[in-house]
Amino acid sequence: MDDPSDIQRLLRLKRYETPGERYYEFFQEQFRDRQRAELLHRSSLDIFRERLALWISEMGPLKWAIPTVASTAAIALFFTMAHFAGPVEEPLVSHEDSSSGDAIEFSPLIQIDLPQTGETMPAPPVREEFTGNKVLRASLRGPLYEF
Amino acid sequence: MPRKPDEDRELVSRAREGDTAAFDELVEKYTPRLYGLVYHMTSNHEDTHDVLQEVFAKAYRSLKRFRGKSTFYTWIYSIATNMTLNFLKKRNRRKSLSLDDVDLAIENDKEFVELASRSDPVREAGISELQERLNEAMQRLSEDHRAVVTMFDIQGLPHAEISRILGVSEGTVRSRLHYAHRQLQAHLEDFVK
Repeated sequence: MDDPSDIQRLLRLKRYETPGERYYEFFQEQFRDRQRAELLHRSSLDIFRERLALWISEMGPLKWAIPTVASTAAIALFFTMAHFAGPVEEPLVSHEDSSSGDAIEFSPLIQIDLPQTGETMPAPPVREEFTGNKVLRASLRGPLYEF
Repeated sequence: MPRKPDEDRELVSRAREGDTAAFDELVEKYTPRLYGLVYHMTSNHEDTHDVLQEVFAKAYRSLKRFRGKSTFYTWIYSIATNMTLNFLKKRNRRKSLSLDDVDLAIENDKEFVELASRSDPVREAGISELQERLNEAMQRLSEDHRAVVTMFDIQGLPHAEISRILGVSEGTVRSRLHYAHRQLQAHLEDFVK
């Protein structure tokens, strides 16, 4: 029996292997019981998500305000936390001076020399691109007045 | 063979909305077919029961991801095939067979009658021994070769459908079938002589 089709004929006989009709009913009953048990034991998080989704869907047009309210609340919370967090101390950074080989320590504080009362500060040089018709007047120069 | 897609589409749509009764109808419709797929690949009734329960559970959980690009039947058949292949790769290869009964209607099957008339070993072995030898030969194939034999020779799926389910070319399906048939012929040669 060298004809491959005989092998296929033998294989087709496996179709007669069957667990029986009653088995399929038993299988379906088991699956239904399992499915019900899984649905009942859904995580509380799933139930919360479902109720939240239902609540939002029942809000009608107001639901579109939720992202705005949520982002506003998040920004307010951020600034509140930043306000109460306090100043952050920066560590001293040490760099070697390439010419002398000595280490130079930089203070975290920025020193500003303010004029004494009655003294005037020299005006910074005017850059060329600010000359001409598009020049900003010296009295208006500054970040707040450029807009 | 696949059912009418229109009928499944309505059931699937209802099941996706949470109608468990609709999904129960799909389970009832496809259990025999999918049972055959898993059983012929595992040759073990208990393993088939467990795997098939997982198949339908996974299909229910994944319903929302079913886009309808294929029929529901092809989709769940693919799930069943992949889960069975994964199961087999993890299973102990030496697990004993746990075979279902053979329907006595086989004695009236034309092909069986013809084979028995031409082959003394088939006629003398008896149905029980024939069943055992067939399943042992199937289990000696690799999982991938067993899958194509199950789908094509036992369940009658066309090459194109098998290639879609397995995600391989039709040429690969034919090649695997050819190799599997040669292997089975070698395993059953002493039996059928």
